[in-house]
Amino acid sequence: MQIARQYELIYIVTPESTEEMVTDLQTQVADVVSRFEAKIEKTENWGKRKLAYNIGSFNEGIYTLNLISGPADKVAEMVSEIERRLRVDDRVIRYLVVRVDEVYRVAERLTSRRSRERARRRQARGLPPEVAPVESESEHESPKINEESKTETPVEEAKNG
Amino acid sequence: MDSPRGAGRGNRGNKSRKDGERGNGRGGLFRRKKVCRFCVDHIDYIDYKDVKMLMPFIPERGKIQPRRLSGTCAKHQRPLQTAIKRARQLALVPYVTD
Repeated sequence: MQIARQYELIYIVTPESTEEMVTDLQTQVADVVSRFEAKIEKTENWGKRKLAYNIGSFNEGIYTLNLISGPADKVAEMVSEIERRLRVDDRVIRYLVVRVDEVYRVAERLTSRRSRERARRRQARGLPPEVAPVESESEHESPKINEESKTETPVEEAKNG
Repeated sequence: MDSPRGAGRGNRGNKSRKDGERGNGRGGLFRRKKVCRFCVDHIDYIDYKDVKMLMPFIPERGKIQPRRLSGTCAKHQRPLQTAIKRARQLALVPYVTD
């Protein structure tokens, strides 16, 4: 299997639908997902929520969130299949599928880079790297060398408070 | 607070942007310098599901607050915009309120 793609699927069901109807729909979705060799990583049931505006005659709905990941070549087909089904189903009043793997990866990279930066900066000031454990590369001595190796100078974030 | 505009901050994303050069700042007016909330709080991913986070950027009327009012930087206003639009589709956030 190549690189997996991740999608977030949220759908809103009519407020009067029963618990079974929701789980039934969920199993339908799970069915499609497994058929395309993907898997549901996480399911969240938000329960009944008030809608920010009326959709049709409804002013509330039952939200369900799924995090799905699967092989890149199959997942596109799977998404269109799920979307088709949800569109046809009249218990579903709204749905949204969003691809999230890339944005999550970017966010993760930024977070890790920042924590590394912070550790390095703390080191330069002669403090222990962080309360949280950081990689052993933070054991480097003589912060001057560190400073030269990187062109981007540390930004004083603490000051602009 | 009153430091010269973007003293140490301008050189952060030194890609090929010409930012840091924009605006003569506050001319003679006393205006507090606005800062991007996402930069300050180190929020890397603006989640469309997080209504609490989006709400400050959606004033009364339901519109998306412009950058010039909220102080959000361009880099974060873009994902914020998509996040709000997605939240709208899911009726988490209104399109309009009268």
